[in-house]
Amino acid sequence: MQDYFDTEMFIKKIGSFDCFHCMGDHFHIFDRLCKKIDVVKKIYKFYTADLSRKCSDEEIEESCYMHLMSYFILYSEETLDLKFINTSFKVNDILLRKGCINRRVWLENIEKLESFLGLSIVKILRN
Amino acid sequence: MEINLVVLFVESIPSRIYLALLKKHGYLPKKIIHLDMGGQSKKYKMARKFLGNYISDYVLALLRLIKNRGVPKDLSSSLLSGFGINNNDISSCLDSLPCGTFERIKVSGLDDPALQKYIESQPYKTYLFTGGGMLKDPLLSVVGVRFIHIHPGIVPDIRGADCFFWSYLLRRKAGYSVFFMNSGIDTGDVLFQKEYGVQLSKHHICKYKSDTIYHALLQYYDPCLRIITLIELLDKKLKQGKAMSGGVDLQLLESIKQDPGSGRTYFFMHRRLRAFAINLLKSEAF
Repeated sequence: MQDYFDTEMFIKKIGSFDCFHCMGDHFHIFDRLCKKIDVVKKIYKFYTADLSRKCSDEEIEESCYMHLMSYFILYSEETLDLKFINTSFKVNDILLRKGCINRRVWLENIEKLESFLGLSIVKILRN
Repeated sequence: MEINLVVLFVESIPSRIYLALLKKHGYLPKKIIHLDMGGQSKKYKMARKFLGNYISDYVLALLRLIKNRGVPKDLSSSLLSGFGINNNDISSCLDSLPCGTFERIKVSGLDDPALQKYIESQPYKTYLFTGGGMLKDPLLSVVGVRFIHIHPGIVPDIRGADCFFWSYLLRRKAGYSVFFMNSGIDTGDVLFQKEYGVQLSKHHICKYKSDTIYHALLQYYDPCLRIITLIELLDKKLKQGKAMSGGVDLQLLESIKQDPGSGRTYFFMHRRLRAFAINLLKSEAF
């Protein structure tokens, strides 16, 4: 068992399966990745096995950020989880800043995420 | 009534609100230690070297004023009135303190070794944290000393940052947890918790911009609810006859250990989510 977490390998592995269920299975990992995005605004290539500390100063490839964005949007849509929606907004900003998406796509993502917000409140009220 | 609690005071509106409401409810801390963090940064020391003390102090005061701007007086007054205090009470919260209650110490920040040395030299064992940064080890590990924090979220469900707004979105209420701090994020032993409905209709917040409402809630409304939660704990323990000679001793109260692995930690809201939360507050206040 490796004693470090390979972020890019993990993101690519998730992409090869049913994304939504994999995210559910790996909820705790995505929850930890939220902190990296929300606080540090960067995701590095390697972390300690428990994702508590980075083991690399290199950020993940832009393609991995793009995959991560699609996973977060899909998971946000399915679960209406406010924490993931919050992180999705921030990943969206990172992608725009890195030039991975243009302003039109950035705005489309914002519109999509804002629609999830309304639905999430309705879900909370129902519960 | 004197309480066996020392307030770590940092010059800010929330800290002043803490003191003003404790005073209003008849609670006098054993001591108030003003952590004077102004003028210790490298930038300030450089400014002092080239501009002199007087101009540097003036610029520092002006920067503080700008930082605290943006909350109109009518809104702050309105929010405070709901708790029975006003802006004057906040300005005068340090006035007329008994001799020896107030002391000022210069520190560069909460991790200044001078602060740890000072606390180790004091006979007091229970401190109320009022802000100014994050308390960390080794300060948190000083033997026999405990720091109390009033967190704006019901732990363990809502830990982290911006929790007043996370609580409002997730539970449709403001929720507070009084706990002894440890090195984890909001994972300390819990003394008391309470939730409140967020009642803002009488404050006419709809006429203000979202940024103004955000700052007003964080600087005035939330700190009032925080300290009211602690006051309610103190009132409760006094009623139960838990008062000791010298006042209520918080270190002797029962606390419940948290499981640090349970619950969820939230982080600062993206401005879009924050705007959504504020708009929801406005629509419910209308």
